[in-house]
This record gives sequence, C-alpha cells and structure tokens, in this order.
Amino acid sequence: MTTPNPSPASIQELLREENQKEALLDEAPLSFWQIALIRIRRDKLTMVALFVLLLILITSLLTTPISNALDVDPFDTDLLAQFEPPSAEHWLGADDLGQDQFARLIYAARISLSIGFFSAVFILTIGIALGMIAAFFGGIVDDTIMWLINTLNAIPQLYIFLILGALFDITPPILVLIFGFTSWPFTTRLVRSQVYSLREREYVMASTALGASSMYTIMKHILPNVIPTVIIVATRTIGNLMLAEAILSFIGFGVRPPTPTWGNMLTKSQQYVFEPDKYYLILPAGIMITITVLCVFIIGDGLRDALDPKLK
Amino acid sequence: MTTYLIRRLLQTIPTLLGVTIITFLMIQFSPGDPIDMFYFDPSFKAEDKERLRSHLCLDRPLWQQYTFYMVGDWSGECPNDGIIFGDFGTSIRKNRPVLEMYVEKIGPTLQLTLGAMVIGTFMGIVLGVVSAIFRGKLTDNVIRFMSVIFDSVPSFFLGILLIILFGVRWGILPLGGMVPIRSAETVNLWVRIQHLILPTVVLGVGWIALMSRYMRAETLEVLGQDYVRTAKSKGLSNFKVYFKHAARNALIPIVTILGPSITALLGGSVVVERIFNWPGMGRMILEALSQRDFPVVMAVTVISAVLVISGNLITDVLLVLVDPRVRLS
Amino acid sequence: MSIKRMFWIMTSLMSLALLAACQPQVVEVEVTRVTTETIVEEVIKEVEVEVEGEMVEVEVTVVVEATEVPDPQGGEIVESSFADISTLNPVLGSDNASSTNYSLMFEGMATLDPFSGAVVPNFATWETSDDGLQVTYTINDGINWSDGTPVTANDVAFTFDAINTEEVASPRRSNFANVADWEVIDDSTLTLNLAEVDCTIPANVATQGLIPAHVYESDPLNIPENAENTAPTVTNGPFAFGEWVPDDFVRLDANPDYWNGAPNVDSWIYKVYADQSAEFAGLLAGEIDQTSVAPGFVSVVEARIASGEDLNMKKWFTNGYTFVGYNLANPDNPQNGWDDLDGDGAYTEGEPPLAQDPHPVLGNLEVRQAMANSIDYTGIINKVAFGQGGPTVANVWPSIGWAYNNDIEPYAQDLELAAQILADGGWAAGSSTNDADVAVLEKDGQRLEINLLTNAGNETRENIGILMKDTLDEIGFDVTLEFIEFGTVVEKLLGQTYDVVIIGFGGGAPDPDDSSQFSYLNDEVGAGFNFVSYYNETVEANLAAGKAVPGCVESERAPFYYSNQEEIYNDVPYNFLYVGLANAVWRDRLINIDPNPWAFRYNIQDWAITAE
Repeated sequence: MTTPNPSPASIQELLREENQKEALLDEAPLSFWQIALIRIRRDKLTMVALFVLLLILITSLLTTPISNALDVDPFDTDLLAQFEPPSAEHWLGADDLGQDQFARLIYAARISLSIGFFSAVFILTIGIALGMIAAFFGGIVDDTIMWLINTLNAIPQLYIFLILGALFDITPPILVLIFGFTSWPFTTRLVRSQVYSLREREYVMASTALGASSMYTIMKHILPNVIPTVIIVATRTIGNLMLAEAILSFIGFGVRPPTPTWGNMLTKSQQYVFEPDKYYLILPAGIMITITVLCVFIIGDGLRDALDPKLK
Repeated sequence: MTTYLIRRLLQTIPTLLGVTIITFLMIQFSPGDPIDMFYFDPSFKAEDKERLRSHLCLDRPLWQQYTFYMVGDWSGECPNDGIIFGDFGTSIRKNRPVLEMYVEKIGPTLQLTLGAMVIGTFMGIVLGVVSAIFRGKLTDNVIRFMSVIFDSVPSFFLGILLIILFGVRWGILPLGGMVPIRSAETVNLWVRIQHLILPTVVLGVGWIALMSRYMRAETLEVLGQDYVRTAKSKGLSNFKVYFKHAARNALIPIVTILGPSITALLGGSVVVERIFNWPGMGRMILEALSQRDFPVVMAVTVISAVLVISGNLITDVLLVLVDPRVRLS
Repeated sequence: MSIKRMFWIMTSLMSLALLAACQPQVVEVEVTRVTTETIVEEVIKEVEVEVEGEMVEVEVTVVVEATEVPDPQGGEIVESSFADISTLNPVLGSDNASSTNYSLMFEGMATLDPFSGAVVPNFATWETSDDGLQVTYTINDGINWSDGTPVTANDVAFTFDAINTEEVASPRRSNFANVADWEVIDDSTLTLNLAEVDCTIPANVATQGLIPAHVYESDPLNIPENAENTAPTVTNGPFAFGEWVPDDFVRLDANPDYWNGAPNVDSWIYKVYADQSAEFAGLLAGEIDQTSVAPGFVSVVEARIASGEDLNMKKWFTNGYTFVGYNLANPDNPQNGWDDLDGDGAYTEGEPPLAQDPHPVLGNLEVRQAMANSIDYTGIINKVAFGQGGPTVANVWPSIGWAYNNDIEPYAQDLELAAQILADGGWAAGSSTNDADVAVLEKDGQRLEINLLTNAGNETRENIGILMKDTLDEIGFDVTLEFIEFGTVVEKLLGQTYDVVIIGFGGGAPDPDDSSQFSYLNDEVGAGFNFVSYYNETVEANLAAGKAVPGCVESERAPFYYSNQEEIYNDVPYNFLYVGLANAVWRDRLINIDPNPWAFRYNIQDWAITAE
C-alpha cells in the first residue's frame, strides 16, 4: 500500500452514511482516492462550487461559439455603441469602445482561469521538485534552497510582482512565468517537510534498506504520499493567483487591454463610481472574480476535508 | 534562550543579503532609466544625462554599485554611505534621503495596518469562538461562508463597492484621504476615524476571515479538552468558559500566523492606499517604481523585509515563551 | 493692471407716495449686483405696500447708487493635482507640478499675456537694439524680495549664471543657446547680448523666474543640495513658502509685500492626489476649490452644474496635442541625425544631416499616408476623448493664432483611399493573415507589420491604439499593440527602438518654434526629442529663418511656420489626432478667478474665498 489506509471502522461509517447508494460494500478494501471521492460527493457545498466552476469553465471554453451565436466579439470596437446599457444585443452592455461586455467577460474567464491554472501547475512542478531535492540531498543543496525560500518569503510578494511587472510587457504567459518563479516557496517548504517526515516511516526505510535507488524511492513511495497535500495547496494557490492577477491589473502592472481579464475590466470601469448609470460596467467583472475564487476556495476546503481529515 | 536568540539573529543575515541581491538585480535589469524619466525634457542633451549618471555613479559596473549600496564608497566619489551604516541613499527624483521619506510614510501605513490588525483580530476571535460554539448550526455556517467570501473578494472590488455605497450613494463617509486639508476644519479624533473606517475595513476583511477560521478550529480543539470540561462542570458561566479558558488557550497557536501576515498586510496596503488616496508607503513604492526611483524601491523592499523577518522572529520567540511544549531545537 | 471684479450692494430708501387718501409709506429695498464699475441704475422692483389695511403689490421705479464692498479677506484656496512637486527652485524645475508652485513664489522680469500668450512686461521693461542683438532690461523701482532686499540686475545675472553652470544641471540651459553673454550695468539695468537673433528668447529667457542671489551668497555652486530648493525662505511673487508634506500637499502663504498687491487669501494649498479618480472624488466631496478635470469626468461635472451645484467650468484648447509618431529610421539601428564627422559623438557646428537607415515599413511615405487616411479622427475626438478636443492638422498649437496654418485640410478617415495608396505603392496581399483574418500586405518580401506603442494606464491612448489596430488590420496591416509602463516607453522612444507611438505633448511654449521635435540637430539617440528621425531641408531652413526674423514681427515670421506645417503635413512624420480641451472647474466660493490658457493664475492676488 502506498497510501495511508483509513481504519475499517471509518469506512464502514462512511458507507453507511452513503445509504449504500453504490454497491461498494463488496469491493473492499477501498482505495484512498475512492474514499476521497465518496467524501466529496457527500459535501454539498463543494459539489455546488464544483458545478458553478465547471459552468464557468465550460462557458469560457465555448467563448467563440457563444460569441458567434450572439453575433458579438470580445475585441470588435464600435464607437456607435459606446456605453450602451444592457440590451438584447449587448447582454451586459458595451464599454467606452463599444466592445461587448458579455463577450469580454466570458473571454476574460478563459484568461483568468488559465492564468490561475497554469501558474499553479508551474508552481507545483517547481515546488515539488525543489522540495524533494532539498529533502533528499540535504546539506548544501537544502541550505541553498532554504535560503532562497527565506529570502523570497521576506519580501512582500506584491512588491516582487510590482517590480517584475514594471520589467515586462505583461501578457498572460509572462504573468504565468512571473507567478511561477516567485510563488513556489510555500509548496517547496511543505513538500520538503513532508518528505522529511515520510523518510522516517518504516516502509520507506525498508525500501531503502532493500537497496532501492533514492529516485525509485521518491517516485514510488514518497511522491504519491505528497500529492494529497499538494492538491490542497494547489487549489488555494489558483484562487490566490487569480486575485493577484486582478490586483496587478488594478495597480496598472497587469495584462493590458485589449486582452480582457476580469482584473483590467474592473480597473477600467473603476472611474465610473460617480455615474450610477454605468454601474453595469463595474459589477459583473467584480462579481465574477469573487464567485470564481469563492468556488475555488470552497473546493479547496472540500478537498482538504476529503483528502486529509487530519488537517483541519 | 539567549543562544537561541543569537542563532536566530545570525540566520537572518544571509536572508537579508539575499533580499538586497534579488531586489538589486531585479531593479537593475528592468528597462527604463531614472535619469531619462526625470529629465524627459527636450532641453536635456545626451551629455547632460551622462554627467548626471556619472555624478550618481549609475554608470559604474553592477558589482561596484551593489557594494557601494551595501557598505558605501569609501573613496568618497559616490554619494553612498552604505545601508549597513544606515544610509539608504538619496531619492533620484526628490533629491532627499530615502530614509527620511520612508519615516514620513511609515506612519500612515502603520495606522492602516495596525487598525486592520486590531479590527481583524477582535472580529476574528469573536466570530471564530462563536462559530465554534454553534458548530454545525446556522450561525456557524453563515460565519464560515462569510469568511470564505471575505477571502475571495478582491480588496479593490470591495473598496469600490464601499466607496459607491458609503461615499457616493449615502455620503456618510469620506471617499478617501487621511485627514481634511483645510485648517478651518478641526482635525479631531472622530474625523480621523471617519477617514480610517473604509480603508481599514477593506484591509482587515481578509484578516477577519483568516483569524476566524483559525480561531474556530483552535477553539473546537480546546473545547474538547479536559480542563474546559472541568471548568464547565464547576458551573462557570458559558461566556467565561468560552472566552476566558478556551479562547485564551486557542490563541497560542494563532501567534504563529502573526509574523507571516505582516507580509500580507504590507502588500494589501499598496492596493488600499491606492484606492483610498492614503499617503503611505504603498503609494510611495508605486510612484517610485513608475519613476524608476530605484533607491526608494530598494529601501522600501529591504526595510519591509527587515519588518517581516523581525515579525517572524518575534513570533518564534513568543511561541517559545508562551508554549512550553515548543522545544528549542 | 488686471480687471478687478467687485461686489456692489445697492441699497435705497424709497418713499412711495401712494393714493392721495393714504399716508406716504417708507419701504426699504435691497438690490445686489455684481459689476466691474460704479453704476447708477434704475431698477424696477415689485414691492408690497399696505393699502387700507390690505397688502397690495405695486411696481415702483427707484434710482440706486452703488457702494463698494471690498473682497473678503483670508481663507485658503485649495487647488489639486495628481503629481507632486520635485523642486521649488525655478532654475531646477522642469515638471508642471513644480512650476505651478514656484511660479507663484518666483516671478520673472516678463510674463505672458493671459489671453494671447505674448510676452509682456512684469516688473521690468526692455528695449531691443536695431540689429536685434542686444536687449536692455530695466527693473522697476520698488520691487523687493520678501525679506526687504530689492530685486536687482544682480539677481537676474545670478539666475542666468546658475542656469549656465554645469554643476547646477538646469533644464533651461538650452534656452540660452543663442545668448552670448549678459552684463550688469547698474542695480536696475542688465543687457543681454545675443549671438544671433532668436525670437524665442523673450518667452524663454525674460520670463525666467528669478532667484535671490544673496540667499545663495552669489555662488551658483551653492544651489545643488541646498535646503532652499524645497523650502525657499525669500521670494518675490504673491506667495511665500509655507509647508510641503510630500505626496500630500504644498502650502504657500500670502506675501504681504508683493509688489502687485498682497493676495486676498491667507494661503494657497496644492493638494496632491494619488490619481485622477481620487482627485475627482476630492472635488465632489468639496475638498477642492479649483482643479481641472479629465475628459471622462466632464459629463459628470456638467450634469452637476445643470442640477444646480455650486460648480463653474471653463474650457479652452490646451497648448498641446495628442499624436501618432512614426519612426522613420530603422529601429534595429538607431542613429543620431547628423553625420558625426569628427567622431566626438556629439553634434559639432556644421555637421551635415546623416542619411539614416530607413525604417523597413514606415520609411515608405505611402504607408504613413495610408495610416493617416485610416484613422477615425471624429470617433477619437467625440468618443475616446469624450468630445473634449478639437481637430488639428499641424505642429503649431491653434492657440498661437498668428502662426497656425488654417488652410490645411485635416486628414479624414477614408479606408478606400488608404487601401488605394498602399496598392499604388506596390503593397499586395501576401500569404499570411492577421488577427482580423485579413491577408497581410507585402512588398518586396517585407510584411506590413508594425508595433504600436503607448503607455499602459493612459486609457485614452490605449483606446486610440485599440481603434487603430481594428481599422489597420482591416486594410491588411499586422498591428501588434504594445501597452507598456511609461518608464519603458520613454526608454524605447528616446532610444528610437519603436515603430509607431501614440503620445502627446502638453504645456507648450507660446512660440511656434518646434525645432526640438523636427530638426535633425535634436535627433539624438537616448536624449533628443526628434525621436521620429525626421529631416526635411525646407523645414530645417524655415526653422532657422523663422526665429531669426529681425524685430520678431509675427506677420513676418508666420510664413515660415505656415510652410513648415504644410511640409510636415505632407511628410507625415506625425499624425496629429487632436488638441485637447482643458476643463477648469471651481466652486462658487472662489471668486475673481479668471482662468486663461497662457496664464492661469495671473491675477491670483485678487482671488478670494467667500464665506459659505
């Protein structure tokens, strides 16, 4: 077994509560992931969040067909439609360039979500790799990595983003790189300490004693054990980075128009606080960020409960 | 304890060194030039700019500039005395000592961050404990849900919403600024607080969310412990049991998040100061960045790092002091 | 002397002899008028009188005479901006914020006429020799610094010395390019000797704010690093320095001994906001008495004025324009505009213009002409600039009426013509497509691709860029938008490594000479403002001749600038988009303000704050 084995009693309990909806009783023992899945299904809030997030995701992926069907385009300008309030033609109205806000909003979903997702992937890759390297090699390698972590942690992250934001012509991929190269320390530290504690477990020691190479030990025994923790961290990270993207845009160091992101749509419309007839330009983007990040965080909490009941 | 302290202090040296190196390199490789920015004026010729650059030693090799920045130029050709001697350089734009500018700006920022911490801690503790007491009930769910929402709403969106509601629509709170500027208007405490309300709330909601979550978890744990049960069985009032015994013990682990949150608050204040026109450090670093006023950017980053590191250090020391279970290792 | 506006309250006791049966009644009538002179006026007033125990309305005619009510004294004027000052020394300053502040403390011998921009005497008069090479300035009697020391020719000479001292690093040094030397004749007289006739001298040199020589011990080397630069103690303008809280406000206090009359108010406050939105919030909250608002907010102010709020607004065309600049030279090989024969890296007298490596795309006139014909000027002015601008065709601000060439027909959007120009120039559809799925044009293997640069965060310029890309992509360009942080834009611009830029000039001088933008002498990589690398023999000759007209008679100078505007219009190194409208807004409580394009605060000593 490579995954922690929950006690039989708790499985029984879980399954009873599942009302034996699925005939899983015969298929004992249940794997770690199956149990997690059962737990998540039981968690209504998480399921709702997952549903909403999926809806947003699917809509964002279908931006082109939806836009075509509605005969709008996130990039087409039309000065005659400047500040047109929500109508049948422009569902969420049009901005100062007459660009359709609905088309931009769903296009922006794609940008914002992918910035969050790819940055998280990037961060996890670097984070896990460095964390394991640090823990396994120890000594000067560990010291160097820890030094980098301490250093990066000492600078408020926003300052780093700002300085780097002034450095580049910010496009979504570059933002992903910036997020990736500066936000890995948390993951690394977590993975490192997990590996340290796992190394002391009997099965890992046994594996090493039996002559397994350290690479083999990492891949076979340690990595799978680290993954649940990492997934929890990852969801949190996705949410945080989506917020960071919005904040950077707000300060003027983020992705620039015409590429729409929820952050820069909100920033652009911020000047209309004195014009109540233009609030339709402010609210949707802000609400979308909030809802999406909310879903991501709720899912993160749900996953934590499901994957690692001890962490609470 | 003393040896522990000394060791921890020594450990901060490489970290601080790292902070200066990383910031210095990031700044040096960023495009844009402070002299070009300041003298964006057709009457400046290339030779004038060269002279200024050489006067400020901006034309020296990188390693030299860095060394001068750290320990000063002992030959006296360059204006730096070195940050280890307390000289953070002179602002290129304002031609004033950066430290002096920093001291001016830290006050307003501290007002905001401390305000946010106080509100956040107080509200967080109350909500967390209440949440724990009513575990699983409606109150608990509402508080937990609110705390996730507070986490998810971008601070500037919340800021804009509050400005729209309280400033524009109802007109009961100022839209921004720290104090009114007219001398005719009395700057009493109430006026100051009025200006503080919206920014501290926006800065503090994340903190409320975090604190209430921690507090809930810690209280739940403590509530299950024997001494709380004993206290209850002795017939102490619920309020006393929850807030005196349970909450006090639950506070101990919370000390651990105080240090790291300095980072979050410093970062958050950049946004909040921008929305609410608050004359603090956040605005200073934004302005310095856009003017490429590098000594200012360096100073803000390095001093923030010192604050963060000290925060962590104090946290660790406090932890050792308040919790005998933590061994000095 | 400025026109003073006064309040008059006219009171009259009126005797009404009513119907014979009644007793004469005395009714007091009060009439208020705002006038600029004493008047005796007949006013028709409706009053109620008691007739046989009943109130009856009757109309009576009375003659009233005026009594003067002096301007209210005291109070403070709050003005706002979103940029902080960097210095308060008129020798060192180059930014708008600083100059707004130090101009109120340090006046020069001459000033600008608020309405025409012409250079007129302030506290000195002058005579020019017949050959135009010598100007003699005489300072009026009784002009004193705030510490009581008289303002003398020595102060003038010291100020000029300071500007020309290398260590001081003054941005005004180039103003003295054609000045040979100056000489103090006596305490009130100074002569200025010119190397050649230069009509820009009065506007640039005579208006220079003076600094007190005695404060600096007459040594220019005492100027850098002097505390006086940010906290001056001795001034000669309507105000003296009060307090500067960086990034918050500057407060100037009235100078009771100002030669033109002490200001009515106690102080003038320059409040600094984080950005335009914050500033506007401050205006609406009543924190500010006077400011200028961004185009996007004009409609809000207009609506509030219409609904009766105590706001006033005045518009005029600014001394500046927003334009599209085309880099005519190869951005991969930026070169200085002159042939550096002696190899010293700098321009030396007599070095000829250099035939630079042309820009692969924009070096072609037809490309620039096509772009000029593709821009939606009306849309940009009406929608992007919210109607707060007017069309312009040329490099001279319309506010310099005598030099502005009205005969040039502005470019207008004509996409067919633009496409035709490109086709005639040999550009044909290639195999690749752009973002609009249109085939990108090519000529001799060169794709019609450009980077369009502007500073991120300037929404007007970003919007112009987005609109331009939209139309240009339709006619076969491949436009990449590059919205980057201003600092980086400056580096690319001065480094001449960009393709096309959208940017603007503002706060221009009242003289049509713009050699800094169009002469090859200012095509200097890393510094010069001829960053489009423009060179045209006729323009060069006109620029030299235009400012060397003996006597500097406007009608004699004008033809040179008319000709330049035509040349530049035809060569299209710039595409002029619009001249912006300034929108000054002030509260009713601030009276006597008279904002004008060339000298906004010329009568600031008369401004007063009324009690609310």
